[in-house]
Amino acid sequence: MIVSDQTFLTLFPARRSGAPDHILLQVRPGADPVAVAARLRGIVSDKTLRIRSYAEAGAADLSYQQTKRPTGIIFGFGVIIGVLVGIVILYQVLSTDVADHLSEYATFKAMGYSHRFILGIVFEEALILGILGFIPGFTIATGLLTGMAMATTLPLAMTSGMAVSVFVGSIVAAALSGAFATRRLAAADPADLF
Amino acid sequence: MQTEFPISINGLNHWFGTAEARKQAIYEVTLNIRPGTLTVMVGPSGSGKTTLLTLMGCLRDVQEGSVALLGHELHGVKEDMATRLRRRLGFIFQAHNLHGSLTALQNVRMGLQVHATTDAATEARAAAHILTLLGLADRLDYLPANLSGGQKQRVAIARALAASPAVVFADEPTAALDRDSAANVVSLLKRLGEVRGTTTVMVTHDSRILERADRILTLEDGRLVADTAPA
Ligand SMILES: Nc1ncnc2c1ncn2[C@@H]1O[C@H](COP(=O)(O)OP(=O)(O)OP(=O)(O)O)[C@@H](O)[C@H]1O
Ligand SMILES: [Mg+2]
Repeated sequence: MIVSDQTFLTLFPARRSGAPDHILLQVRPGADPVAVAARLRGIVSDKTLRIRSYAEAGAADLSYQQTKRPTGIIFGFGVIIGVLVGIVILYQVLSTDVADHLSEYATFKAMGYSHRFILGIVFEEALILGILGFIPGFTIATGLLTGMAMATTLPLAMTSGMAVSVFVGSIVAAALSGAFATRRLAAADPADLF
Repeated sequence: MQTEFPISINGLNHWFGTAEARKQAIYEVTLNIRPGTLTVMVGPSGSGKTTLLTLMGCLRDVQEGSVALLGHELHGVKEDMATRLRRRLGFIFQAHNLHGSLTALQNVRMGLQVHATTDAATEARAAAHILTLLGLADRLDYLPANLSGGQKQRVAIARALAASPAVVFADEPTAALDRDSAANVVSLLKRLGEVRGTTTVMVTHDSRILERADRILTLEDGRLVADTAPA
């Protein structure tokens, strides 16, 4: 939630305008902020004061937002649930498709194609669906992040790290669905073809 | 002695179902089939023709007795051996079982690709050749959905024969074919028998095929009741 300073003071009456939360110190060019912060920690005796470099503070805040704050935890669950739902939907699609083509798979077996070959077809299909699902997902997510960044001026963007990890997650999810769906192949019996 | 027959069956019994529903479908069948011959199986519906065909063709596990196919015992055969044996067989099913997303040519190529012995161009030429022999030269790039029943069945026959199988198993293969196509298919199978020693076992009641068979086996209630050569 983003509010003006006046609204903030109304919402949190214990806080006073003019009392700083953060004090920004600028180090001399060439000085190492991490080393300066460490030296300051040795000098300042008040232990309620946290002295960190800008980068350390940023990282600590990010980790706090993502793992301690309810919104961050909910987003984390969102990712896990998204992957699980993805696996279930992909499994449904694949196993229906395998069931629809059972006689074709059985024909492959009768023709002397190995079980490995037939498993390969199902996995290939799973991966194609996984990749095809990733493309619109990636596009929509990038669009949403850009829109949110413009609306809030917060530094929100699709990072390559995020994109790669979601892509790897999609592929792993697709492979898992494929693995579950191949169990349906046992029903492809070439003796039933005549 | 045994191995010179592509198919040699001894004391074969087969059951379907379990416990009270267990019902015997094949009783004590013993027979040898000579290479390069066209053997036809006849008999009333439910007499076990299809069951016997799938047992000989390595598509169904042998429960009791012995089936030697191309010199390999099928009783207790391992899955990878069964897969390799099937590559030397050609199956023509009652339903054509073509792959709906592949064209006629691609379907036939699937029958060659399993051997992975030739390059794509040779494979495509061989597939086109056999389709031409079956009168489908102008239908190579058609999907099964755009072919008539008889044309689909001829594609399936081309797929079964493309890789020069040692043994061809067919169940009512000519049901969907007109008189000329059926005669053409039988001529092709007989010629393959003479030229390449291809052995064919076929279930059919088509009298035009019966008169050209080398041997007719009659099944009744799962028993082999007659074994004749047409005059
Ligand atoms: N999968 C199966 N499960 C149970 N019983 C079966 C199965 N397949 C065949 N049978 C039974 O085995 C017997 C022989 O069947 P089979 O299909 O071999 O006969 P068929 O001679 O090919 O008949 P048709 O001329 O009608 O094709 C029949 O009594 C049939 O009911
Ligand atoms: Mg039958």
